[in-house]
Amino acid sequence: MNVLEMQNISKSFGSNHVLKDISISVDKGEVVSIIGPSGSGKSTLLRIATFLETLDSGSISYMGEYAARTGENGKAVYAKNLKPFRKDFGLVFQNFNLFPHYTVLKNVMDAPVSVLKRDKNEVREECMELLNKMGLGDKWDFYPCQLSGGQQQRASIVRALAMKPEILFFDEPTSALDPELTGEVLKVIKQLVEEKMTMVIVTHEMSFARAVSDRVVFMDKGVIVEQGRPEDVFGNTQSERTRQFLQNYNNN
Amino acid sequence: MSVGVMLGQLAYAFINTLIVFFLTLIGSLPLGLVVYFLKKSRFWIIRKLTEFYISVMRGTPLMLQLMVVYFVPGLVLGIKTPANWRMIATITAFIINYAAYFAEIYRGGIESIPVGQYEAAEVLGYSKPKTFFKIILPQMIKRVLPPTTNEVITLVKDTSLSSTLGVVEMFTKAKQIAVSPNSPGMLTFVAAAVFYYVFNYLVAFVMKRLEKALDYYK
Repeated sequence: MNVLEMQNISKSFGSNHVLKDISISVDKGEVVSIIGPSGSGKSTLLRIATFLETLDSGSISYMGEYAARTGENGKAVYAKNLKPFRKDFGLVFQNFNLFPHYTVLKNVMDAPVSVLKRDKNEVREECMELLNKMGLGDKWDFYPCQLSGGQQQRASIVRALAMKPEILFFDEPTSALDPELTGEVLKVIKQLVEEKMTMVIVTHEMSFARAVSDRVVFMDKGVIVEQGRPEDVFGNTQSERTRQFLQNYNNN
Repeated sequence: MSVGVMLGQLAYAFINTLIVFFLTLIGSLPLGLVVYFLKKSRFWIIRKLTEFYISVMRGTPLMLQLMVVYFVPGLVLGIKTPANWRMIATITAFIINYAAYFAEIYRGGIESIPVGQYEAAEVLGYSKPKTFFKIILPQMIKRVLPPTTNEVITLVKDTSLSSTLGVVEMFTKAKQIAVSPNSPGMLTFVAAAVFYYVFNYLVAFVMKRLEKALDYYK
């Protein structure tokens, strides 16, 4: 079953047509990497999937339920209550966006307890386990400002996982990190790949995308130019534009 | 009049200073948040009225505002004012004046919080009120402490304006003593200055402790 299905997504900011009739679906357990130049619309696509931006037209469904679909006038109409859909996904930000006044454990525990109304002790146990798994077991009572960028990003991944989402989105999760710290975050994501977590990763880490993805999507100027298995997109590139992008990437 | 008696009278009148000071804070600190919300209202008319209110509060002297609050209900609206109306009007005027300033301070604090904090909360499913009270407000308080300290210290000195409506707080008392026969004269004002200075020293100390207490995160 498709965890996420986005169809005919269009989005403009004023006269700037950012997404042009894009369709993408993600199967359960699938890992999809989205690559492409800056301004290609990849982040906007994630922001629409997570309701941080509203779409102009098109449809979004999670687990077969429509969160938004095009109405009779051609404009997208959102479901009256989006709250149940928010449980289906998690988002990891480029800048972590941890809550600075909460400890690592409180950052991770607070939403399951205060939003999902789950039992505090049970959540704490689960969260400590997740933190241990991500190598943050000894940092549970630290504040975000006391952590390195890599540790902060791992904590924010745990925060998203603690909500037990069906699908996890990553918006350039390593772009704010130096190469060493990038490695430790990628390792954690790899761990999630092995656990068959459904994920969509917007990234500039080409070798990583190639290594972990089931499918690679190349976007440019608001459209999907090419997509397929990583060995095809990287090894047997069909589109001239994709080739150009990958070549520039390799040269740098 | 001996210096001891003078100090005793000043200290007694200082109780009124403290009443004006604390009641103003208790009223205006939360009211400032309400004013901030009104300024951010969905309704155009409420936003405009709030902006007008803030600009009048900041654009006219507090002494004048005291007189308006005192005289308008009785003389203009014909409402029978209670016996302790001087004190009530004084504190009311102080509260609505300071709330306007606090609202602007809060706005600065809230707008300085990165949009990512709202987005993270939204994606995690926090409702709007929860986002504000659990995520934004605590961070806002930390950010507004220094400018709030400024206002609170100004308030200590502004309490002397209570004399406008005949509320005898410490400074009004000092003026009365200084002109009375056989008083310690100018020494009374020196004493009044010491009262203000010491109290403000305490205020600054407490605020610094508060800042320190919130220093555990950046």
